[in-house]
Amino acid sequence: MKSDQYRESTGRRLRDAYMSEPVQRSASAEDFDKWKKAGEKKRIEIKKRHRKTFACAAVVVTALFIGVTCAVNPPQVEAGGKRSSEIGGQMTTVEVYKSQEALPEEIKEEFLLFPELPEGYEIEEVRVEKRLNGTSVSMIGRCNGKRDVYIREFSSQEMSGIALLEGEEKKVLVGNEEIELFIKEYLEERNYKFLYNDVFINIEAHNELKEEDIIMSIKTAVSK
Amino acid sequence: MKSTERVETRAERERMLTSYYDEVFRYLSVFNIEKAFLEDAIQDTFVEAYANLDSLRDAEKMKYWLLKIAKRVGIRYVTKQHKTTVKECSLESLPDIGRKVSSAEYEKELNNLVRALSTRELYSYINRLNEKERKVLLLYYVYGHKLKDIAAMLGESSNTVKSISRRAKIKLRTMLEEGGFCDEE
Repeated sequence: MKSDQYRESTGRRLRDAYMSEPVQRSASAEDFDKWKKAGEKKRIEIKKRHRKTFACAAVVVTALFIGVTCAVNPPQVEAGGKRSSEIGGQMTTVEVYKSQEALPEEIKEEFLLFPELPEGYEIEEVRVEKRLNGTSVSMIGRCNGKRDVYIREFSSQEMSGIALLEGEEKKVLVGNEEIELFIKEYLEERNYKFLYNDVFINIEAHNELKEEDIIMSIKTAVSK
Repeated sequence: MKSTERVETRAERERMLTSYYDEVFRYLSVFNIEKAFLEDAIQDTFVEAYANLDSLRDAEKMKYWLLKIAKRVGIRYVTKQHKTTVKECSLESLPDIGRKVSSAEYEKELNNLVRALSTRELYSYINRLNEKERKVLLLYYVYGHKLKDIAAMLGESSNTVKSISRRAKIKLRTMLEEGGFCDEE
């Protein structure tokens, strides 16, 4: 016999000896019922979490696909104009507006508008893209001599949560409603993302812009 | 019809789960969990098991699946209580102690002694070891864990567990040879 086999054999003898000791307590049917209910609750939470992750993964994939396709074949349209084109086998309508105020009412109702941007910044262009799987609103905030701020909002029935990335800092903004804001710092810019009324909002701003200023813009937008 | 079958399977699995209470209790008792928290650890194990019961593919492997959950929960409690991060140390880096303790000759000798005893005698001998020695031996022989895993389960370093293990084996062998007495105690 090898060392492991002796060990196993000794283990069996010791196990018999250990198992001959009576267990000093036992669980009642009520205990098991309680654990079962708690387990069921946990199972639902796990499912929800999985669904969120899955839905977000789908959104990320869709966004990437659309982003790549748009980069390859961007629908050219001037401010104030409207154009439809086929991207990725589905019709996409792009409308460009010069300001948030010029947006159609239904867009204003569904998406979050940013009445205040950090000092000196103004929205110069708002682009609304409508596709079969959802609508996105992209805004560019500009300030003379400074880097642009990009705000992208995406609304889709397929989306139910945010896919989290490693290294993201979570901040809870308390205003009229509680908002979980996730911030990730890159070499030159910061990325802010959050969900508001089922709309996914992503803001990219250069590190020169203070985090507090962007947070203030968000707070103003949601408290409107 | 299919859904009824699934419900029955789930109910059957739930019934099976309750039958392993003693196993989980015994297993977690060997971890270095404070007595006041042992019941919580057992509860957490079963809650987790109920939550993930559908993910168990082969119900025949339920006991090992459940003990795996218990291991994870147990280590979590040990780490929390001892406020230590147990380093996963490679045993191969300390060959001398490892070789002496687990040599085939030693294991053979111990096995012969253990087999010569009745279950009751052996039980009383194990109980004469101190708590940590008993736990290390049970985790090593009965549950077949590696020393580095045992270190995590007890909230000790691998080196400490190795010395406890060596001491426990020597004590047990001495006791067995001398009819249940050991001066080292």
